[in-house]
Amino acid sequence: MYSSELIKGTLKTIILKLLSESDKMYGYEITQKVKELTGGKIQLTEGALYPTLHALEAQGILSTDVVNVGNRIRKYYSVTITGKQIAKEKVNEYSDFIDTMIFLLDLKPKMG
Amino acid sequence: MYELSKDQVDFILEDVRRNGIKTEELQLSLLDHICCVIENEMSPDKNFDDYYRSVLPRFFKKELKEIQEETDLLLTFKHYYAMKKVMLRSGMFSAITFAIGAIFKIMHWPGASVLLQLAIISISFIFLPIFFLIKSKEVKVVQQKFIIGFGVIFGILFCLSTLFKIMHWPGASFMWLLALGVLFFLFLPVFFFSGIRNPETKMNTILSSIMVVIAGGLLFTLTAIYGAKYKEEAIEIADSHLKNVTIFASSSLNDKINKIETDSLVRIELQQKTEKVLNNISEVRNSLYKYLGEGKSVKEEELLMGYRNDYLSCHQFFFKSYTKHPEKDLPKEILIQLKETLKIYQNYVDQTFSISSKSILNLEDQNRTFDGELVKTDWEHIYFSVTPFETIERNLNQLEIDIRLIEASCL
Repeated sequence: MYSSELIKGTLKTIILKLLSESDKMYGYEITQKVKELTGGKIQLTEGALYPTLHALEAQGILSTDVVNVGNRIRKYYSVTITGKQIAKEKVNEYSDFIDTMIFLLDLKPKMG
Repeated sequence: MYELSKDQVDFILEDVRRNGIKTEELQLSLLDHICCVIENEMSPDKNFDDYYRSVLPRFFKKELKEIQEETDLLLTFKHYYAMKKVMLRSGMFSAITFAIGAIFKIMHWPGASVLLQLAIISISFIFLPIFFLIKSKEVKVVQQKFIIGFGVIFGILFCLSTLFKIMHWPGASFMWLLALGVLFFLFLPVFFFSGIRNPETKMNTILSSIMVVIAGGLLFTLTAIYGAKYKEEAIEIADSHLKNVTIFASSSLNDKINKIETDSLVRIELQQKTEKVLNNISEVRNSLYKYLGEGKSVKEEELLMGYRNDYLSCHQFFFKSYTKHPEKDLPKEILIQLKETLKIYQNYVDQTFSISSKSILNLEDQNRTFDGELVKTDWEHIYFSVTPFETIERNLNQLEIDIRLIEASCL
């Protein structure tokens, strides 16, 4: 588990990347997917996830789809066209950031 | 997989609501998420109530409503971080520009007004409004919003009245009164009565209120708007009287001198020399006006508005420096030359007409009380050092009358 400060700055990027690679996902699914992909190293906190999802929706980066599941309503999120562009920019920016951090902290990247 | 009943779902939704999640969208999102967690992660042999209680803390640090607050913050401030950045930058820009502008103003370098205007405009119209938007969203209590609002209005009015005062635009005093009105009759009551109710903030509220009253009162006394107005009026009446006397003395003396049967050659010489001295005085006056008007020709009334009680500007015009001991500052060429002209004139009249013009115009060093001690002070410092514009103006008028009186006593 990484500290929540580290994850906080990357939350938007993670959400956008995941959603732009799949058709649509709901909140719980996103947290599970991240957990699964990272082998439990990154666990998104719900306290940060939903505010970000709602904000991204309000900004028109995400669109939503509401489906009835049993006794409750489930909200599926997907990336809009503008959102896809932003997701690409975010990922590029982050990859650049990682390169800089590797250089800055003088780490040897693992090859292969 | 555990199956949640309708009652359990309703219970969770109600509990989420009760814990401060207000918007329906967020309620439904959290409900689905909690249900998913229970359905997927709870082993069937466990008790629902216990498991629910243990799941809930995953969503917050202290309280569930943190999610609502965080969402509100992100939604209301799509540009929250951009705004914060603009606020900090405009604040820093204002502070730096203001400091540089103030130095320019004191040194009489060009561009001072532009810098000061920029600083005040950016602080009143960018920094303070954004400050209000951000801060008022952060506080939840209505009174707190009002306190911030009134504080910001006071700040804007205070800055603008300062700008108006510096630029010599009309309305500065009115705006200043308005700012004080907002401070004392809106800000202070709300601040005081909302803070005093809470035992935790009671002491600090009382202390802060006392400080606000003292600071506001001090500022008010310093500006002393009404007193200053009456004093200004009295000075204006006295000044205009002095001016009338000067004009009368000049014109009537000229008439009379022409009628007096003195040796005409001597008389013409006296007249010429007198005119020369008077011209020198008006030259000094004109270049002072030009200096204070920053190169532009400004009327005396406008200068009187802007430079009243300004002890510094005229001193800098007449003296080479402005130090902690202005009595030791050296006079500039223009003042030395004026004194020289007056001396030559005095010598001429004293010798030619055997009078003692010193009784009318004394250019010698005189003893003056300074910090309770008698100090020998020269003519330049008595009349021109650390003297506000309106007094310089009066001294120059007096000098003209003195010259006319000397001229008259020669005949």
